[in-house]
Amino acid sequence: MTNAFRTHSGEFHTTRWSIVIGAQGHSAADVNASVESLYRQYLSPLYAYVRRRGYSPHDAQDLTHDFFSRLLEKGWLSSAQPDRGRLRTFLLMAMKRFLANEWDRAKAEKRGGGSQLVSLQSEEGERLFSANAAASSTVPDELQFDRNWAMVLMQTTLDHLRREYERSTRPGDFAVLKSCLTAERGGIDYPVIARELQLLPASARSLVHRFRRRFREIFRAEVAGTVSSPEEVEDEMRALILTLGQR
Amino acid sequence: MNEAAGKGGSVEAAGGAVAECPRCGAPLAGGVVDGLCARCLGALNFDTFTRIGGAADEEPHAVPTVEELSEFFPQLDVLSLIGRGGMGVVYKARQKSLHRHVALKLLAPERAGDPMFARRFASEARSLAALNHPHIVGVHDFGEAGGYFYLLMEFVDGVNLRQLIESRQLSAEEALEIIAPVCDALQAAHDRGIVHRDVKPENLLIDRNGTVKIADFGIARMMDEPAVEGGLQAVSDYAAMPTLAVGTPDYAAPEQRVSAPCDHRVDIYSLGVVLYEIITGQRPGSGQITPPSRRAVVDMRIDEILLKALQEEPDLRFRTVAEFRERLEEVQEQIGRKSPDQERRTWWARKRPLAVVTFAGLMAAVVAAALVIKGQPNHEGGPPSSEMSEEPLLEMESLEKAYQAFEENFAALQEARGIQIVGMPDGGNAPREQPEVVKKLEARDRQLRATILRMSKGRD
Repeated sequence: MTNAFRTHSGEFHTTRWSIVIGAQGHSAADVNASVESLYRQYLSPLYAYVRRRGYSPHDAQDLTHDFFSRLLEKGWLSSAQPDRGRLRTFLLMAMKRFLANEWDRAKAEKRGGGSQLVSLQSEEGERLFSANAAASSTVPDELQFDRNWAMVLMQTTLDHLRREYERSTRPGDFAVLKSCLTAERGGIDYPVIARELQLLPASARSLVHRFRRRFREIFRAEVAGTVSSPEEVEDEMRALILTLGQR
Repeated sequence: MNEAAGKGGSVEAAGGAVAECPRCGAPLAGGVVDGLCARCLGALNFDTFTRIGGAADEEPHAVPTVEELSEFFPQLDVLSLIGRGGMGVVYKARQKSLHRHVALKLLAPERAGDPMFARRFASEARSLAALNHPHIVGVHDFGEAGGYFYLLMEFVDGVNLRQLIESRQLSAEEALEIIAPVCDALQAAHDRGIVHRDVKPENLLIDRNGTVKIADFGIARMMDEPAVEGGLQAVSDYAAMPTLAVGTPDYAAPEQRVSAPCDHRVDIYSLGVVLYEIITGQRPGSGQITPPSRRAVVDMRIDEILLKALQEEPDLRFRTVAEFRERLEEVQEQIGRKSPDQERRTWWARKRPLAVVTFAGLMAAVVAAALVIKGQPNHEGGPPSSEMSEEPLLEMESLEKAYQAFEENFAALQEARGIQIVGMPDGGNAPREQPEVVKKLEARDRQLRATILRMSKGRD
């Protein structure tokens, strides 16, 4: 994308659904970059979910790897049509089914280590799992999966925003502006930010405002990529954010 | 977009149970995203359901103070804020190195750091700087400072056309004196492929010598999204710049209002609106346009010119601003040829029904008719027309001398009014006795008008 600050939804948000559908019939070995992105984004919550179901780290790693391989190879996705609903729900359902029916058979067929990609993501997933375990053991597994999913989407959003700033003429602004995301509107000290960023105070206000707005735009676009119709975006956003508020 | 999924921060929950979000105070149960409380980060999105694109999405735009600016523009003494509009904020400043006054225009704080905007801004600014024309406000320098994009421009010491037409009626020749050079300047710019896109009285500046200069050339385009690259733009971006996407609505051509592709003919339309407003005191509005002659005493041929400039369909307008100007001058000449000498100077008069009636009651019908047709503008709209007849008349050698005296006095009057409105040329306040000065010049103005009237009547 050429302009770091313009939203062309088509530019950065290739819908996850289109990745899912486009990946059908490919083996995990020759997954293209877009499928890889699907792995990266959604493996950690799935991994953490599997761990929460009582599997060892090693098994969880194998399991998530196999899950994705099956997902791609076995045509589970032939029915992954755009009217399929939320990707989050779809993946969790598929994983549950896999755990119930497929895993034992798969394990019997072969025992192989996960790919490097999977081990990378399982590190992240392991971190999620242990953090979840420490913070709230009473939370149902499904809710925890949704929570993790929401956090991963927000992380993706922040990463996206960070890269936009890396490409801008003021790359240093990101770290300072990031801290304004969770501040109360009235609680942002613009003069301090202006000094830190070498800006006029009026301009600092404007930049903070734009930064917050940009976060919302990207997050929204990310969510939009995981639902099958534009009407579902709002609902999905609400649902995700609600999961974070429940204890 | 995915290579950096793990590169930046990470998703995790608070270790132990000790950490609390400094904002919501809750234990970080929802976890932490890149060091931020996930709940609060999520709430930011929640918060925005009502806000994206809505009026509440807009932070009020504060304007930097002169003191704040000094730190960011060490090369300038920033003196005062002299204007703010949809396109930016303008300050009067003194360039230390060259000891000259300049206008500092700050634009687009929301674009700070945006590399694409920076490129477009630079390329536009360069072409503006190259647009060297006596009737276009010159661009000396440009850059980015303190989070703003800025232009350093020629400082025009005077008034804008809006201030001028609000302070008094313009005579026909004054109007043409303004419009003709504006046409030349626009044509010169159009020849270089630069369209103003926001021609309006506020952007036509008149300095103390009476020279007209067009300001804000190309700024509208700079701030606009280029149509070719635009494509899908986030709704909120449009909402953020409602006044920037198109020109000022009352002066914008129909194709600008609907964001259709537009070319130099939008300037012809806008200039038509400006001239219409000078003549009638009103803007034409959209849809069926009332011919100016129904709103003011004006030759029908002026109707024809303005209605052509104000055509909805660009193809039906004048093809160039030069053509527009030529046609205006032709008509002016035709009117002039038909009338005896001094009437050549005028081609319309503002309709002033009340004054006309009073006047007709006091003066011979012939004189009254002559006055209305000639349209000697009665400045300020203040003194009743009858006063004219009571002015002690001046002895003048000839009508030509009287005209000369009138013009000299008129120039002085304009200057004095300029000082009264915007202050001294050096930036100081107007002297306290300035209203007196203006009054005296006005009195003489009336005397000279009456003298000319009597002398020309004597000739008939």
